Amino acid sequence: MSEVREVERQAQRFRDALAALREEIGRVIVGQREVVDGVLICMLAGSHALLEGVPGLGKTMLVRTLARSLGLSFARIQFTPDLMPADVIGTTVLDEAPGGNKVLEFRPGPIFANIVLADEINRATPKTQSALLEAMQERSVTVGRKTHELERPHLVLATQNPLEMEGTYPLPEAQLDRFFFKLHVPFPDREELNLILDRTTSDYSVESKTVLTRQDVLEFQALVRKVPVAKHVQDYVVRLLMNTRPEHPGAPEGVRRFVREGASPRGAQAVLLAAKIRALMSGRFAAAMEDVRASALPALRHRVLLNFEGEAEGIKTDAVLQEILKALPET
Amino acid sequence: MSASPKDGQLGRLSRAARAAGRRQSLNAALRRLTVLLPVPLVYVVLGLAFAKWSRPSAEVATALKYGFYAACLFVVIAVAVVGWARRPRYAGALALDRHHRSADRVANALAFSEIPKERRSPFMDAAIADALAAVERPSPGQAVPLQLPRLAWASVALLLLAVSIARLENRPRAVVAPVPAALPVAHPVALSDDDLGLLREAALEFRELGDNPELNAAVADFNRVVEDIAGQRVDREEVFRRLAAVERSLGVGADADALDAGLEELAARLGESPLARKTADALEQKRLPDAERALRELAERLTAKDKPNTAEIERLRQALAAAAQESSGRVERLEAARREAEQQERRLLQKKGAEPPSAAPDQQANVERQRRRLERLDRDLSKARQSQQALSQLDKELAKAAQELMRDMAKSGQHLQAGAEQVNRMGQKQATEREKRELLRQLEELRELLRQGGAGKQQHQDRLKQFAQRARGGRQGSGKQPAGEGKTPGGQRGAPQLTLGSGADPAMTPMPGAGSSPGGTQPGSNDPSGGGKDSGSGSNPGAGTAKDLEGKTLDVSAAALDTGQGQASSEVVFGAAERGFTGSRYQKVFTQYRTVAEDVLERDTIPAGYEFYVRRYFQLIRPREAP
Repeated sequence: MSEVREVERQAQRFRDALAALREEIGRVIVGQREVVDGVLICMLAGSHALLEGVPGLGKTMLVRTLARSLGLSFARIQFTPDLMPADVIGTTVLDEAPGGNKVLEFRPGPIFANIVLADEINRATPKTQSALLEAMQERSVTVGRKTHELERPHLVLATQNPLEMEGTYPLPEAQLDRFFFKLHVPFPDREELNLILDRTTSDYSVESKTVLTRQDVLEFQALVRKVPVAKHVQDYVVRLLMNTRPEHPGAPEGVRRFVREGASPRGAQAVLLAAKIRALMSGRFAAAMEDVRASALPALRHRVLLNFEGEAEGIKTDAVLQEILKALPET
Repeated sequence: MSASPKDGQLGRLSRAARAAGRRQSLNAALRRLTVLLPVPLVYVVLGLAFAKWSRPSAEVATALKYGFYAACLFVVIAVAVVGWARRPRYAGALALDRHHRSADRVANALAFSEIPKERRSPFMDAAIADALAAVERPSPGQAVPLQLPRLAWASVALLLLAVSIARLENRPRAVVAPVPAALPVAHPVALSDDDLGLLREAALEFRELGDNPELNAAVADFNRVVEDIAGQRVDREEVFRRLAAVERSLGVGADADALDAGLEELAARLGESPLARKTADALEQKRLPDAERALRELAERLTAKDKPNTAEIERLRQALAAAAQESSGRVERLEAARREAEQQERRLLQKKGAEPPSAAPDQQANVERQRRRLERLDRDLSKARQSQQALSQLDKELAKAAQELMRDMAKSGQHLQAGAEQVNRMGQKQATEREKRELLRQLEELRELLRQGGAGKQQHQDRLKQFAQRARGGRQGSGKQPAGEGKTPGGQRGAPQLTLGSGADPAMTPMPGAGSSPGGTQPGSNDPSGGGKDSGSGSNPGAGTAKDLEGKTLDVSAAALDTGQGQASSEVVFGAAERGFTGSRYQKVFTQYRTVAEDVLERDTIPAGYEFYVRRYFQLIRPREAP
């Protein structure tokens, strides 16, 4: 019984911390509740997010505020075509020791921050992208013969501009798969925009406070993985994933017609882990199917690849996924 | 280990989830039912419409019924399959979650509760507790309300339609053209009620006779004719046409007489053996059932232990062989005789041509005689051939019996049994033929009656009416007859009067020679030499005049036991003439007289016309019921 109470207490603490974190972020960021939650879920899952949105929507501000609220280090990398991998992961320089001796010293790149904002990631060459994505996946950087572990938590938030495709290097599917979520940053509505203008064109100034420590984040990352999933919910996730594949007999018509490649098992992992986090965020102790449904789009939209016909007809993966969710029975 | 409150609450959740699942199954069954129910209902609507429209036969109706059962069975099975189909495991729990907005708490709690406690994580226990707290009073009824599917209106509409059709009247079987009102017959045939009653009685007797469908149909036709005459719905032409049709339908062959002749010959041959004499006697008297019995007895005797002696058996063998040969032998004899007569005729014709003309009349008479003989032989030959055909099977059996008699008596007995069976069949045929002949006789009598009603019909009918009235014991006003003797003012001889009473003209039937047969077809019609005197005139001087029915007749009645001291027959007849043809005494006397008359008619050769008058006379004086 005490274990249950302990769990309830931890869950309550988790909810309280998240609420405080949301409130703190909300003091700086206007609206964007879903994006904030998505980023928080990625952080709690110990993974990374790809943000897609036009410039000027506050992506950098969001990441910076999150870093400050969590008391974590923050780095921003503006990706350009001439950006080199060493600019991301760091380099070894020859330095003079206090005794006058010359030594090779590793100067860590911005990837070593706890929270990294990789701005316009698709503008860098694939070589640089690969360097970043390898670090994201391995959570370590190897320079020369020495491997440098990245400090946990480590969260990369990459952004993409969906409009300017000229002179860009779209991320390969295998690398897209490494992002836990792909979040669409929506344009603010009228009320939100007014509020943004009020805050940014006046002497309004707010400094976000640290509401969570690094240790808290690590504890929460461990806690969310303890959330149980009933078999029927897990089966629902599996069926959802299977239905994203056009060769699956139960796949809806839209999938069979417009999808080239369905989601990988990594997509199902993302959905289920996100569902657990959402359940805990909602005050429940087990993932529900509605959590799965809420997580399905950000977790799978970059993992489902449209075929030529789908691209030509301007089909959105979100529409395909919604069709799957609509057709998928709960049991 | 006692169940904790938590377990009880969990059990409640579990029961509620199962109830919700059952309600889901019921809803699914209802949905399937409303989808499929129109199938049998449409079938019922179409079937009822078809039945109302065309009134199908019993077989078609049965087929329709079975079709309906099949459609219903199909629906029941399909609904049962859906209703009893295994539902997804947590479907009811998820329905509860949806209703209580508990975000799968119930389903998850039930899922975790199935895991053994020791394997449950604290989070799972927390999830269960959370579910129990979130859904304290699960409500499966509200979570899964039983809903009547929208498609149910179609079934209701079809049901109403079926009920409406069922309440409709059946369509008439066929559109029958309106029958025009019966046109009045210009000259309907009329018979007196007395005669009609007689004919109806005859028809009733025939109806009781047997089960021969051919005869029954003919009797029914005959009865219809009688009823149409009674209703005055037919004229003479129509009646004669229908009577001819009835006669044709009876199809009585001429082989009855031929068979009788053949049986007589057969009996004569069989009678030569004492063993077969009983059979021979029965055959001779046309008592075929007795003949059959006698033949069977003979067969049994041949197979019994105390067999007849050899001499008797030899005589029997010879008799059987002779009988078997009789039919064919008779035909051969007749053929030989015919050939001889033919040769004689030829010789006579040659002789006639060779002799002088003075001898011609004698020769002509001889030729005519010979020709008549030839014709008679032809008739006899034809009869003999028919007889041979009818008796052929019996002849065969008798021949075989004769052959086997000296070798194997048992086998011979079997052939005699087979012969008895043939006799039985002939007997049945004979009975039917007899009934047909009786009906034919009735038809002929009806014809004669109608012929009589041809000219002077009304007058004749009036007389018959008066007679029938008096025959039943009724009184006539003056007791005087308007005619019956002398001549009519027109100079013609008046029609014979139907009067009762001694000394009066008793012949209501126009007798031969009376010269007044209305139909003009009676023998003696227009024969002045034969007419003029009425039979019975002045025959009983003590009984008064013919016109005086109230007169001085001797009227004695006896109401005691018949000790031989009662009335004489003549007295009974006198009494009947006074009071009508009623009473048991008259019945007795009538039966005696008619039996004698029938015997004479059977025995003697009487022209058909005369025979009719005798029968008609007895018809008219038959006993009646007292009024």
